[in-house]
Amino acid sequence: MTMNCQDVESRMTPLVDGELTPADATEVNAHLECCPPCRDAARQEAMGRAILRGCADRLAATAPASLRAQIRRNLPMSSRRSPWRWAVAAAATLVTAVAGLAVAGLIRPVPVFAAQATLDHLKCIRFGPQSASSDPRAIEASWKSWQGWDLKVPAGKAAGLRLLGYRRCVLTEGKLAHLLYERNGSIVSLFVLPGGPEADGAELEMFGQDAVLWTSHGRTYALVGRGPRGALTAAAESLATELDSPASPGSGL
Amino acid sequence: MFDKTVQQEALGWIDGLYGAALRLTRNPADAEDLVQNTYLKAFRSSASFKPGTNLRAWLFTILHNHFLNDRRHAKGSPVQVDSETAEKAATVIPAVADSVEDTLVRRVADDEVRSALETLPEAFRDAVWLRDAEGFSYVEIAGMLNVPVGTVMSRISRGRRLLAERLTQNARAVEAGIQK
Repeated sequence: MTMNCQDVESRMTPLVDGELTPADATEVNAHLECCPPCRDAARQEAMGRAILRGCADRLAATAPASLRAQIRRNLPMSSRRSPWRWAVAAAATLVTAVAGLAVAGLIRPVPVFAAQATLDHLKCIRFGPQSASSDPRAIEASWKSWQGWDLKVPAGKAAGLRLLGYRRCVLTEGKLAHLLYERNGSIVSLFVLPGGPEADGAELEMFGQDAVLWTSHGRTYALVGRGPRGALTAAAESLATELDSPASPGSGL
Repeated sequence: MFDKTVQQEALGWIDGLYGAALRLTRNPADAEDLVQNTYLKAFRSSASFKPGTNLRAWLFTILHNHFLNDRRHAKGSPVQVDSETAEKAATVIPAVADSVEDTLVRRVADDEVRSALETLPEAFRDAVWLRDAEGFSYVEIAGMLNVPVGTVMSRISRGRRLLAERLTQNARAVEAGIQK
């Protein structure tokens, strides 16, 4: 059987890689002998292959040391972990399963969302923001292009908060936004869940953290951080005011 | 859950994964996010990894899936469009003159290859790199990109030829410059 150009085209790469059976290689080469366009194509492919292989080692990227260190810290079986952290991790796995349902809109009780937010806060503040920015508008634009829904980001100045950035949570597939702020040297998280449970602004204590949940314009907000009791409620009230002001909600005024 | 040895081996592939992430996202910050999410996902779903199979290929597969998912979310449109357009656009490849080929083989600067790679359509660049730099098999690459093996081969083929063509054009331009 003689091969035509199409047969040869589909065997070009394994030919150049030396991965054709001897019988196939003989047939392909017989075609190349008498077909200049296919011969040129094969030669060109071999040339591209040789050039790239010749310098691939030198073109290879090196991961930044900070990234390497961060991933090492995230290792699930890291021996540096205290039993307390194990407990948080175990509880987090359990609650994440439940919280997945909450995010999916299947169950909506406030305590489940509060627990999820608190555990996400505990899990994630160790890593800091993945996308660092102190510009509310920039975060809103980047969130919109990433997830497609409008996230209002309060600047938080009036609430005594400094915007650090946001995290991209893999588990919630972007349905739950996680903003990070700094307050008196510790990290405070603001979670935003569209269509979440109806919450009334009460302050809850969970896993040694405080959480204040409220609902406004169809979004459920959870502000999570360490006490003192009452301080978080004041911050939450200020954020709620900023979010509700129609003109430039991120200006901090 | 992975044991310590597997974890260490997984961490050992970080440079290659970061390189792949950089080529896909074309942005260091996004590449770091992508690599971090890849490891998170890998460690979380380590139960689905079959010991004895290729850990590196498995990690690259997770990375590509993650990237495609992220982009699907970002664009709200299927990703195939880009590669299909690219494949159509790249069917015609001119032949190479021998003298220029000689010039090329003599020595091609790394920077030139790097920038020529940058100009390739993403689908070709990725397939060629996975094959020629990372050394994966056609079947492994097909798994990563979720396309048939035949498509993988044709992307590699076109990627290599386009790369050679771009470098040839550069060399021609240089020669022309010298002759003037």
